[in-house]
Amino acid sequence: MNRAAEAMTIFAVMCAGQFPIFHMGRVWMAFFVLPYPNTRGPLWVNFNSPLLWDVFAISTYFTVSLLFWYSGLIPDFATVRDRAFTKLRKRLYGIASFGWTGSTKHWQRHESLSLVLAGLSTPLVLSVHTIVSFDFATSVIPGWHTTIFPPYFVAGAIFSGFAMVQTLMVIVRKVFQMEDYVTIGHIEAMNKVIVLTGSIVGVAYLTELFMGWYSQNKYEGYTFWYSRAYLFSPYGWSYWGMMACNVLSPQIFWFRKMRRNLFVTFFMSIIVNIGMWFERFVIIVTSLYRDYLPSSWSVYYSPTIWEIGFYAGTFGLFFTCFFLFAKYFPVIAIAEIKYVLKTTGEGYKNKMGKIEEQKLEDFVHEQAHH
Amino acid sequence: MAKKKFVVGCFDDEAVLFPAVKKVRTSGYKIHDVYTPFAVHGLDHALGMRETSLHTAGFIYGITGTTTALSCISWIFTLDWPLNIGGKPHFALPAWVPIIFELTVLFAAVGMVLTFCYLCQLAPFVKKHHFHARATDDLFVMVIECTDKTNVDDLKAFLSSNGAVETDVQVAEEGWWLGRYDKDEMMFENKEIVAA
Repeated sequence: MNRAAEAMTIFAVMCAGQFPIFHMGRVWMAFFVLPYPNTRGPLWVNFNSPLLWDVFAISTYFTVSLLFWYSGLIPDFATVRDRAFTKLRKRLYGIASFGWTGSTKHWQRHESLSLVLAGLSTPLVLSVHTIVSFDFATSVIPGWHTTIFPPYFVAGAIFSGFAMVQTLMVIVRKVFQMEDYVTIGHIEAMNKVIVLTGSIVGVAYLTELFMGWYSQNKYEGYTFWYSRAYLFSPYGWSYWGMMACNVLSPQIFWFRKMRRNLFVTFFMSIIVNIGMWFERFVIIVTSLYRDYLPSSWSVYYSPTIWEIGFYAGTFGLFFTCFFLFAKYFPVIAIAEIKYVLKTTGEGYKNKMGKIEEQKLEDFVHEQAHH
Repeated sequence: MAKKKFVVGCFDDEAVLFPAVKKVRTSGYKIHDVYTPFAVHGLDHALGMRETSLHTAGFIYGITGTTTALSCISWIFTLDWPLNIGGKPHFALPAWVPIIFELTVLFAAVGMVLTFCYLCQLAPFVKKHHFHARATDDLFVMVIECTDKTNVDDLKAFLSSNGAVETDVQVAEEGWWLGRYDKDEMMFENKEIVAA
């Protein structure tokens, strides 16, 4: 499960990273955002700007996720290499596995590396979503200018990330017949996280509405109570669509039967994905379509063919990468699963009878030698 | 690099492997390595290896990143090109925290992975001698280095009596070379026939 989730992270970041570059207009000058000794002075980038923080956050996140993912893949590629029957596979997986042998010292270092990289990735996830939210929160646009954005974005990211993993894993699990490895127990645990983070996101929505009133700021009030929460304003439907998909419908996962039902899980994961798309739509469109000057209000936002094209393109990129991954890469972490089965699998548990019958002193005596 | 002679014993269970490792070591044999399909916890200590210092290296790379980010940004914004942004201080430390954090993580991660690959001699196109094709699958492969005095048959018998499911003698290259896995020699082709 973690392997596939990491892969999705990487492909999604690849898609996400494109958008700021497209928005620069002149994509061939995208490297201008990097601080390098240039011929213009040198003129430096603005290190105090959240937009530049985002450049660093996204590129670091991508690099570290990629390294973490690939270092975990190396031993599994070696397994595939040594079990391969065709010459081409042996050759390609031989290159991909970097000559891994399974030496004890290498495993010891590998464990240490995985532990530290996992430890580094966790705050990195928090930082990347926090910094993305700073892009909005440090602006002066009503509806964006809120201090709740960082935790709200982090919760939303976990929420939508888990939903996307559910969407894909429910299918992958079925197609690859991995029911023994990705169990209903795993799916239930993920659904619990979805209901938790969905509710956190819900609290954030309500907090925003409250602050829209409590601040007594006319513009904030207008954005939150007219452009968003009023159902019959031009975009009221998108706000309530978001509420229904992200906050109300996941509450179904309070019921154990629903959490353990694959169809409900799959259906809900799609709903959550749609809901999180609504959230982005609400945040961006409802804050921008009517600004301070009524003369520049647009009647209705409609995406251009280019916008739709970019959006469809990210779907293409993501799914191409994901299908290639599912086809050619070990989708679950083989070495980890072997260890888990060895220590907690059914085969291991069945052999416990002898140990359970032992006297305490004998057991302690025997275990002390390990 | 010179080729060396090794005695190989394969085990199919950790519960058998651990006592065997202990016996082989107390009998004075030098275990070259044990190849396992997954990280066997405690095997490194059973083989008398010291803890890895990779995480210490990671810490050092991390603080290198912190220092790089802090010194570069402060030099750029206070000395090289001081920008007046609404009269705010040039040395705007709180605003630099995100980038300092990101560079810390980036340096630590990249540095650690490169160090890991260097220490374990891992890279694309690298090939090593594999004592058993199932070492990455479901066998624990213990490899013992032979000296002039080693009686190979005794050692093989010793390993079998300690639970090895398969024993074998191989003359193999220790290091790595550039090679392709599809031009694989058969795993046991270079087996040396030892006169009884």
